[in-house]
Amino acid sequence: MAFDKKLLDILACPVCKGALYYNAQASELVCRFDRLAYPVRDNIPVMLENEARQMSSEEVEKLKGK
Amino acid sequence: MYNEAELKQRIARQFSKAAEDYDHVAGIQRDIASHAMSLFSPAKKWVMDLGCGTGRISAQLAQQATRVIGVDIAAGMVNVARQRYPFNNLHFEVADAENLPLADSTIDGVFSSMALQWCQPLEKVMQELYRVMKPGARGVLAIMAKGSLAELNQSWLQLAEPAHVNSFEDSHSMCTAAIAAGFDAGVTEKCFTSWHTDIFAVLHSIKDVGAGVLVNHPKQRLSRKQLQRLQACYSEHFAQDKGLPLSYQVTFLEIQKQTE
Repeated sequence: MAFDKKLLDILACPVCKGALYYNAQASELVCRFDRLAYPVRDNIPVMLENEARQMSSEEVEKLKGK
Repeated sequence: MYNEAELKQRIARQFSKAAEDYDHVAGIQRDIASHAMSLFSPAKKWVMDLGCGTGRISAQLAQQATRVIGVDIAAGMVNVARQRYPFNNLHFEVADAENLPLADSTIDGVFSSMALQWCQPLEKVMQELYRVMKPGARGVLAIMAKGSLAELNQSWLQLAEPAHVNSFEDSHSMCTAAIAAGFDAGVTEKCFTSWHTDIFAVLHSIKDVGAGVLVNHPKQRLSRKQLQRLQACYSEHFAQDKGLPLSYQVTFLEIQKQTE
């Protein structure tokens, strides 16, 4: 079972509580505001700040067009 | 003492290690969850199981609610839950109860059993729950309270040793935290007792469910002599025909976010 988009209706960044973007390719949930990418491992979102990957601003810019 | 982040990681690791066998050893946790379930009126739409562990209750909730999200800080527990209960309306995520990754006013009902004693004081969790719950939403939270593991605590006291037992809040302060966050709240208490053959079984019953992290005693190792003295003291004061009792004093905190 793939990551269920229904979850996106309620999920938010645990840090700023803002909306998340699901990057299916990287299997990450991205908070553009905090530039944090939360991993989705085995279809389970790991929504811990200390497990998130810090993104560069260029990387976030690229995602914005999507 | 650990700092907060270290403590959370340690707790998560302990519970992850215990994940596979948890349901075999967690008899008392099961009884407590059942009682909490009897208080919980199934909500429609999104129900959250906070501290879902191996997902046994999340799966039950998924039979009543439209959608359920099981949340736990221990990835090992959540992975087991996912494999055991691959239901379409049941979702899991790894998250911290004090920093919930949920948008405001999205959750219709909250269930939690034997998890939030790890988040004392409860102020921050209560504020987060209030934020994510919809107006009118209800929750039932079963939390280990003051008086839990009293036999163990008292035995350590008798031996004039520092208690190798975590301390717990009382019902009143839990209720106060809920009301301070904005909830209508009420509490009931119930004591549950597990029975054990000897002191090793008593201590294992705590450790085997992953609950062995001592918040204030990072590196405790009990010596053989300490254990023998503890066994003698515990038996002398508490032994009954059924064996050695271990009490769980549980607060059932019922909360509701007022409708606007």
